[in-house]
Amino acid sequence: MADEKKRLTPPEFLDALHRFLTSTDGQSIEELDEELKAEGIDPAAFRGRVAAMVAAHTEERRLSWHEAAAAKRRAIEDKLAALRLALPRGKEELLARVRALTETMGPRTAEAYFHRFEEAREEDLPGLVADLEEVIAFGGLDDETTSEP
Amino acid sequence: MDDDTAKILQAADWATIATHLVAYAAREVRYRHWRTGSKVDLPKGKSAEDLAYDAIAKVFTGQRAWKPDEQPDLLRYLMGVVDSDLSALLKSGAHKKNERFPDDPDAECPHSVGATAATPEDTLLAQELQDEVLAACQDDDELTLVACALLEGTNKAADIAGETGLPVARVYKLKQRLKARMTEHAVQRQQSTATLPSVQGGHDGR
Repeated sequence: MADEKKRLTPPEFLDALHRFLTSTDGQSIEELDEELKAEGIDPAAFRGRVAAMVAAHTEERRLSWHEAAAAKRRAIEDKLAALRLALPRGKEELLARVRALTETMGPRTAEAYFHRFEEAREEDLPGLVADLEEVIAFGGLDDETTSEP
Repeated sequence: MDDDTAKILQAADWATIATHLVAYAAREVRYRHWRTGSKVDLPKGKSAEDLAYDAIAKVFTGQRAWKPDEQPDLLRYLMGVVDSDLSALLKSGAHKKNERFPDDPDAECPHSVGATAATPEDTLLAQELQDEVLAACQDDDELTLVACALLEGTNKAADIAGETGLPVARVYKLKQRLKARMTEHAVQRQQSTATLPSVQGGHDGR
C-alpha cells in the first residue's frame, strides 16, 4: 500500500509507548481520580494541599503589598507632619512664605496663587499654606500643568 | 515574580492542574520503574505526590521561573519541572545500584527513553522491552490494535482511536489495562532476574 506507515525501531517504539502511557490529555478528573486511588494516592487530599499552598502564597503576597503601601503612607505622613510644624504663624510671615514658595512656580501660576492668598481670610491662611507646601513637596506646579486645556 | 504572572498563577484552575500533574508524575514514576527494572521506591523517600507538589511550590516561590509569554500552558510547564526533578532524583547513586540496567544512558531524561538509545546493547535492551510489551498484548485483540498503532508511531489516545476505530474512552481503559499487564510482566522479569544473579553481574561488570 502506498500509505503504509513505516514501523518504528524498538527505541522509537519505547518513546511512543512512553508518551502514550504518561499523557493525561483528554482525560477527565473523574477518570484520573479513579486511577490515582488505585495507585494509593488520595486525589482530593492532594488537591486540598495544593489549594492551601496557593492560598498561603496569595495571602503572603497580599500582606507584603499592604506592608509596602503602609510604609509609603507612613513616609508621606511623616513628611507632611514635618511641613506643618515648620509653618509660620502671622499673616505677613505667611505671605512671605507663600512668596518664597511660589518662586519655584511659573510666573502665571505664582501670580494666581499669590492673589488667592492675598484675598483669603486670615484664619484660612495656615491651611492654604499647608496645601501649597504639600503641592510643592510632591512635585509642584508650573504654568503648563495649571493652565486650562 | 511579576504581578501579572502572580495573578495568572492565583487565578489558575488548580484542581484540574493538580490532578493532571500528580497523575502524570505517578505515570512517569511507574513507567520509569518498568523501564529500568527498579524494584525500589524513589530516593530520599520521595513519592509522585511530592514531585507534583514540589513542582507547583517551585513555581510559586520563583525557584522555577515560569514565563507565561514563552510557555502559556502552565500544566505542560509543570510537567517539565516534574521530568527534570525526577531525572535529578534518579541520578542518585543509591537508586541506580538497584536498577536492573544501571548503565542505561537514558536514565538522565525519562522523556528521551528509547529515541536516543545509541549503542548496540541499548538497541538490544529496547528490543527486549518491546517484545515484552507485545507479549503483554498478544492475547488481547484490542491491546494488539493499540500496540500496532504505537508501532506505527501513533501515540495520542485520540489518534489511536481514529486509526483503530475504537472509542477514545475505550483507548483510555486500554491504556490502564496495558499498564497493568506491563507491570505483571515486569514482576515476572524481575523474578527471573533474581534467580539469575550472573545476568546482573554482567551488567555491573561492563
